[in-house]
Amino acid sequence: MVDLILGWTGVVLVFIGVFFLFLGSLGVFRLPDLFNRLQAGTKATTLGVVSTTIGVGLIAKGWLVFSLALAIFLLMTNPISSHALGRASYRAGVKPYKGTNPDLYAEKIKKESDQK
Amino acid sequence: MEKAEASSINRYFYAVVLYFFLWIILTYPFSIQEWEAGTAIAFTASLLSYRELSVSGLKNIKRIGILLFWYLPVFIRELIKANLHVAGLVLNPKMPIKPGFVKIKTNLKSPVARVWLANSITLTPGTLSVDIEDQYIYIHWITVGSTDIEHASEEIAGSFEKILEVMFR
Repeated sequence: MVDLILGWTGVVLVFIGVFFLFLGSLGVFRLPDLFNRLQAGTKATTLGVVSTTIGVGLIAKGWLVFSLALAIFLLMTNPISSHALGRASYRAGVKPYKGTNPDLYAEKIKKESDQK
Repeated sequence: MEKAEASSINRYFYAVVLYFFLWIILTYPFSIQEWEAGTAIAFTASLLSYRELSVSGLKNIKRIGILLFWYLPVFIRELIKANLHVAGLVLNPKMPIKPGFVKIKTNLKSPVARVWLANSITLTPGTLSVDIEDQYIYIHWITVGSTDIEHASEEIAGSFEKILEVMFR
């Protein structure tokens, strides 16, 4: 009985994960510039992949401990990679979408290049 | 506050505990033999790497406790909110976005705490931390609410900053 409940919880979690991953890819397709796309990409992949891994762990119980460890590592590393991508691409000259209104980061970069 | 680092022996034992725990997880079907090998390996590996692993030693175990029981529930709630937010933006045919780069100020002193704050901000609704400079974090915000530093800081970082302040005391 407990097995059955856990198994179905796992299936539900996998479906939630897949749904958010789908929305994330739709976001990458629809949003206008790199930074907005990065946002959709990071958030959706984090919840989507974590939820899917834990769901798989609940379905195949031998893997539950591993899947939890995997989820923790993903939660810790995912934001770092997206931060690195965002910073590097801004500095490499990727222009933000023209509706981007306060752009305080541009001021900082300008100040830095003036100092050099 | 960034305090002086803990003693070497303290940091060494923290490394032993952490490696042993990691070993147990990675060799999951528990058995005594694995634990014996794990103990030996944890002691040896810590000897080689405890200097690089941590600054504050065993105090980190208390931090991990706070992390699991206080930070994690808040974090998961924010993560789900962030995803619903993105879902709402993406599924809306008009796509009501209003992006901008804002700057927020943090009161956290320790560099590790700032990294945690920046990471948490990335996974909360509509924000992505792009760069960090002393106590200012530059953030790409998908629906800019306020460009004022004080307001933006409160709105974006408020809930996490309190927890992290206790965690890295």
